[in-house]
Amino acid sequence: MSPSPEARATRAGASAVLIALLLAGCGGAAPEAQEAPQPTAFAGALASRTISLPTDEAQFPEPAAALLNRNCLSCHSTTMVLYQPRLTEAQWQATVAKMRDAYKAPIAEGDVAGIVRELMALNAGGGAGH
Amino acid sequence: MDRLDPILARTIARRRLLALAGLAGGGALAGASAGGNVVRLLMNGGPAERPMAPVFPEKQAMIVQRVRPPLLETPMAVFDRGVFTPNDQFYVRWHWGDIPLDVDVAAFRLNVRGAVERPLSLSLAEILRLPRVSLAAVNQCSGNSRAFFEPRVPGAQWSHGAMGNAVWEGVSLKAILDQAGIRAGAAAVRFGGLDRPLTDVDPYRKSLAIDHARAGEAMVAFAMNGEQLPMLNGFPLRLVVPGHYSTYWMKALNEIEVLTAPDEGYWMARAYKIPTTPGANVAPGAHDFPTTPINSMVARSWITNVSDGATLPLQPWLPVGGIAMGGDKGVAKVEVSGSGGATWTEARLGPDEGRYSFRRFDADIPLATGGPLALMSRCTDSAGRVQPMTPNWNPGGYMRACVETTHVTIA
Repeated sequence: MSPSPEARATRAGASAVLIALLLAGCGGAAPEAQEAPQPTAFAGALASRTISLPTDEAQFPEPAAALLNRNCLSCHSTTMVLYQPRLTEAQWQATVAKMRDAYKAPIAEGDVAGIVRELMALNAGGGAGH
Repeated sequence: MDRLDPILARTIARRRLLALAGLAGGGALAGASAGGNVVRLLMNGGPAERPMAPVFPEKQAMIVQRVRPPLLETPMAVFDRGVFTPNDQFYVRWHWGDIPLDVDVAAFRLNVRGAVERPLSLSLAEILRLPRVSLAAVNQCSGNSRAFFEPRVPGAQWSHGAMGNAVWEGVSLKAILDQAGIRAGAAAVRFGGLDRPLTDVDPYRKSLAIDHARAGEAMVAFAMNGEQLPMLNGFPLRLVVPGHYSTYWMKALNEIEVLTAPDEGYWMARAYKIPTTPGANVAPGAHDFPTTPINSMVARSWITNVSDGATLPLQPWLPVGGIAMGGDKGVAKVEVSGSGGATWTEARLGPDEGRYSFRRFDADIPLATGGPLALMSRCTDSAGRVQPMTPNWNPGGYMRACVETTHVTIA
């Protein structure tokens, strides 16, 4: 199941040099080149784990984001909205309906139109101009 | 909705704790988006910028699609370094805000119930004593590459990095089901994990048809690339369904339930549904069409040694290499093109790690003159199916598998 370590090491080495050159050339974020992992059989015992997740305090940008801040952030970060492509009003309506009906987000029916309006305003800056 | 307030309160309490401890993850992300570590994804129409942040436990720098619940994408450069994706760079995708943060290996149990002769409650120590199996397999999100759909569709806007390949080691699902003894009339096996919804809805659970569940390849994995799984990838146990999309690979697996009827829960009956047409392809904008739960993966390939948009020096031969997968079949052949698909050259294939694994390919494309170049790779699986040139479309943004293009300029 495993290739020869030499073959992997050579290929990884050659690729690493190439990546370093390419990244240097295009000025992007340059992660450090590393050796390929060498999977091995699991020999140890499992160890209990406790993790802490990073927080996300971000709120939707003003103006007129009060409904979004109140209705969306209990379940997910702002970026779930901010990274969407430009969507039509019908697509945003369907998305809000899915959050209410399928995922039982506690959104008052009277707030739906306002939420869609805020989403459209926010999303107008999405797409090509963002 | 009754759970939202306590969950939010807990989140806020945790934020205060973290702030006190000086572990301001949110601050780190804000800093990242203000300067340095921002990546640009290359979908048409944006928004393209994402922070690259090393602030998640057991993870190096990842493309942060969403902090809460985490959606973390693997940068493409990682796939150029080897066919196995390191655990600390393996992508992360959770549905619900209440995800496991604390697992006590002594207290954890995997429960097997439903239409079985002997319900089981297995400790991790008991599972580690069972006969082991091991297999290399690609885990790919159903919506991997969704950001490249045209016209665009809502959902997590993944580039190509919602995937990874690992050697999984664990216990055969069949062995566990045999130990419990499946009763006559079983139709499906449903899997659940430790994550919980914040509202009063179906928890995230997925099912396999009974014949698939006991066919022998599905695995309850406790190790990934020789180590225990990162918490964010499903510690302590993850279902591995080789050749199937990741939606079935239940993380933090703790419930196996044998059902006597097909699973009508939300996550099988309504979510992750694809058109029944070949390649899950319908006309853009279509919405009334027969659907089926997403299932087997298909062949894909990516050039990884050259970045899209790069400028490269004129040289006699341009090395073009990357990774391919055969979906639920092996990789039989990979071809590359430097002419936008007009002509193709067969690539050399790297070591075969098994039919479900990534496979390295490398080729050299002759360069005559400078100018723009459209590089492509095209995988043929062991059943003879070839990646199509035309992208598919469906409203969920699922199962993209067409030939991808890397645009470079030779100067």
